[in-house]
Amino acid sequence: MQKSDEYVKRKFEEYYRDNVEKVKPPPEMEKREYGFLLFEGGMMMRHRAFKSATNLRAFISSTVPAHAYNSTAYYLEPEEEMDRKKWQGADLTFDVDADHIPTPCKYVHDLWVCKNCNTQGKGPVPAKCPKCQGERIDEEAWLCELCLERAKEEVIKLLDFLGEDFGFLRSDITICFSGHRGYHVHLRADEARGLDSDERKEIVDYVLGLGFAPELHPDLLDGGGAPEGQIAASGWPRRVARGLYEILTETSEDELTSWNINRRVAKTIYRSREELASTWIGERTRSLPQGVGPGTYRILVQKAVERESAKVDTVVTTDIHRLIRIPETLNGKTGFRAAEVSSIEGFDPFSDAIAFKGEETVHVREAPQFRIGNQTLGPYVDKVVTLPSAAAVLLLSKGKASLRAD
Amino acid sequence: MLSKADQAKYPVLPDAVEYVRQRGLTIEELSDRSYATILDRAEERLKEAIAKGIVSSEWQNDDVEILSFPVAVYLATILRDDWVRRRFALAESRRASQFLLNEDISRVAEVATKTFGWKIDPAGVEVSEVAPILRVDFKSYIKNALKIKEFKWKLTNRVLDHGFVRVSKDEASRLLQEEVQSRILGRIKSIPLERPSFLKDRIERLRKLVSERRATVAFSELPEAVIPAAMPPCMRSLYDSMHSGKHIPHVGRFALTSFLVNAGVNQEGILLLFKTAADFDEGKTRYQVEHIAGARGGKTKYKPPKCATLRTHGLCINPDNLCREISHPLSYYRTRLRRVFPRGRRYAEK
Repeated sequence: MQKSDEYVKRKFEEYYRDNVEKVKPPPEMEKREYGFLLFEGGMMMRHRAFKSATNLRAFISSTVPAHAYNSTAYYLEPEEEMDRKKWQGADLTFDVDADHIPTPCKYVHDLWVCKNCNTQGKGPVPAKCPKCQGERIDEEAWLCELCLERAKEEVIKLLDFLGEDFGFLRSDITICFSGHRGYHVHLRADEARGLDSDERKEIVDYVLGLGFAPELHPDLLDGGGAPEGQIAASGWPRRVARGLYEILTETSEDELTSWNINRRVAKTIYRSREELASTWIGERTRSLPQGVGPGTYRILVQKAVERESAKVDTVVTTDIHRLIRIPETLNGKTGFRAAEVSSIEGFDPFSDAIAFKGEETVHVREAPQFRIGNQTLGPYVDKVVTLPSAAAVLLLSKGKASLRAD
Repeated sequence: MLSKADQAKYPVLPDAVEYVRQRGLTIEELSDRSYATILDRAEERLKEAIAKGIVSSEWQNDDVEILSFPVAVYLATILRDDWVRRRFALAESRRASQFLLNEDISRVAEVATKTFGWKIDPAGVEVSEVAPILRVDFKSYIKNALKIKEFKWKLTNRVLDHGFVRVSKDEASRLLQEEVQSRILGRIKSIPLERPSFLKDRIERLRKLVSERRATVAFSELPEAVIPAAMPPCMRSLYDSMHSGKHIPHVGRFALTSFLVNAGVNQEGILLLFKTAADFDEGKTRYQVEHIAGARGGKTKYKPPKCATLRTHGLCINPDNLCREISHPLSYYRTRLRRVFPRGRRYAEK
C-alpha cells in the first residue's frame, strides 16, 4: 500500500472506531449478500452474509474496507454462489449519477489521460487522443456542486414519477448520497419486490421517457375533444405538455436554432411566446404557433421528454443481483459518508456527508476549486497546503495530492 | 360461478378446471370408444393450433368442449415439442381473447381480478357504452404488455396515474390473452409421459402435421466464424470499439460476448478480440467469457439482450431498415445471413 492509502485507511479506521453504530444495514439484512472492496490490492470480497447489525459493524470496524456493499436482492442462501443463492426478490433501486447527466462544468473539472502518451485534456473523453491517435484513454471524474445539484434535480423528478405515476408511498423510499457523484434511491414495497429484470427495464424506460411516440398522443395539442385536463392530466402526456409549454415560452431563438430548427420557425416561436403563455394553460385547446410543422413538433417533443425525464442509470435498476453501497459507510473514492438523506432539497453533500475532523498538510498536484462545509478551497496547482482532513482525504483518494512524506 | 356455456368458452379458468376435476376423467376411460368425440375434439384443437394458430370458437356440446381442453393439453405434453407447446398456448389464448372481446366490462374485470390477480381501481371503471375503460395496476399491466411488441403498449405511452394504467376493454382482453397463454404454457409440463397405445395414430397424425408445417419455417444453421458484414449495427459498433481498444461498459461487453458465443465464435476467438481492450485482464476475461458461454457456474449459455434492452442501455446504435423488422440482434444476424448467403452455399472459408 502507498503511504497515502495507508493514511486514508487509518482515517477510515478512526472513523469506524467512533461511528460504526451509524452504519445502517438494509431491512431483512440476513437475506442479503455483502461485498467489500479492500484497500489492499483492490481485492473484492463477495458472497458474505451477516445475521445482525452487530456482526456487520464488527466486521467493518476490524476489516476497514474502502467500499462496503449489500445486495439489493433478498436471498435464501446469500453466501452461496450466484446460481445457488435462491433469489427471493429485490428492492427497486435507482442510481442517479452525474455520469449520466450532461453538465457544462464537466469541461472544467473532468480530466482524461491518454494511457499511451500521457496527454491530458478536459471535458468528455475523446474517441482518439489528439496527439498520438491512441484510443486507450482513462477518465478522471471530479465531483462538483453543480453536478451534484443537477443530480438532486433528477432525484426530485424521479420521486415525482414514483409517487404520482407509480403510486408508491414516500415512506417506502429511502434516499442516500452515494458518497461520490450522485444518489441512490431505494424503494422497498411489496409490489416492487418480485419484479423481474424486464419489468424493471420497463420502469426505467418509463422514467427516461424512452419510446414516447407523439403520434400516439394527438390529445397533447388540441385536447382531442376531451374535457380540459382529463387526458393530458397525468403520466407522460402531462409531463410532455408541461415541458412543451416551458420550452415554447423560455427558449431563445438561438437555442431553438441549435436544435436544428429552421431559423424562420425559431423566430416565429420566439415571437409568439407571450401569446402562448396566456393561451396555453387552462384553455381547451393548446395549439402551436402557425408555421410550426410536424418535423419541428417532433424535435420540441423530444426536448420536452429530455427535460422531464429522470436520468437514472439503466444498469443498476435492471440488475436484480446488484451490490449497492451500504448507507452510512465511507466511500473510498472520496472519504465521504454515504449519508442517508432525509430531505433531498435541503441536503448539502459538502457538509452533511463529511466524515472527518482535524487537519492535514498535503502536497496537491492539481485540484479545481471545491468546498468543505463553509470553506471554499483551491484551485491548487503544485502546492503544499494544510487542509481540513475531509478535503485532504478527498484529494488523496482522488490521486490529486500526496502526503509530504511520499 | 361460470355457467356450463361459459366454461366451454374459457376451459382454462378455474371453474372449468374444477368441473373437470370433479368429473374425474382418467386416461384409461379415454380409451373407451364412447369418449371418441372428446378425443376427436382434442386432436382438432391441436390441429387447428398447428395449422392456423387459432382454435375455432364453435362447438356442439359443452361437455365435449370443456373436457377436450385438458385432453388437448395432455396430447401436447405427450408430443414433447416446444414449438407445439407454444403454438397451442397461443392458439387457445387467441380463442379466449375473442370471447372476451364480446363480454361486458364487468365480466372482463372479474376474470382479470379473480383468475389472474389483477388489481383494478374500482373508481376507474368507466362503463360507458362507447369506450369502457379500466384502470389496471401497473405490475399486471407491465407483465403482460411486455410480451406485445407494438409501441402503443409501452408503458411510456400509457396514462399511468398513481399506480394504475388506463386500458380500454378491448386492450384488457388482449392483455388477458397473454395471461391465458402463460397459464397454458405452465400447464404443459416438459415431463416425459408414457404414450398409451390407443393414442398412437392420433400422435402420428399430429407429428406429421408439425413436420409439414415446420418445413416452411426452417431455420438455417449459423456458420462457425462470425461474418462481420451480417452483424447488426449495434454489435458491429461494439465489435469495432473493442477491436480498436476503446473502453466499452460492462453491459456492452456482456452483449457482445453473448452475441458472439451464440453466433458460434469459440471462446479463444473471443478472448483474442478482448485482448485489444484497454483494461484487459486475461484471467478475469476468460472467466467471464466461459461463464457467458455456459462452461462455468450455472451451465446456462447466455443469450444476448434483445433490442429493447439494448435500447434502454443506450447500445442501440444506427439502427437500419432491417432493425425495424426484428426485435433481437440474433434474428438480425440470421436474417442477414440468409439474404447474403442463400441456402446451400458455404457461408465462409474458415
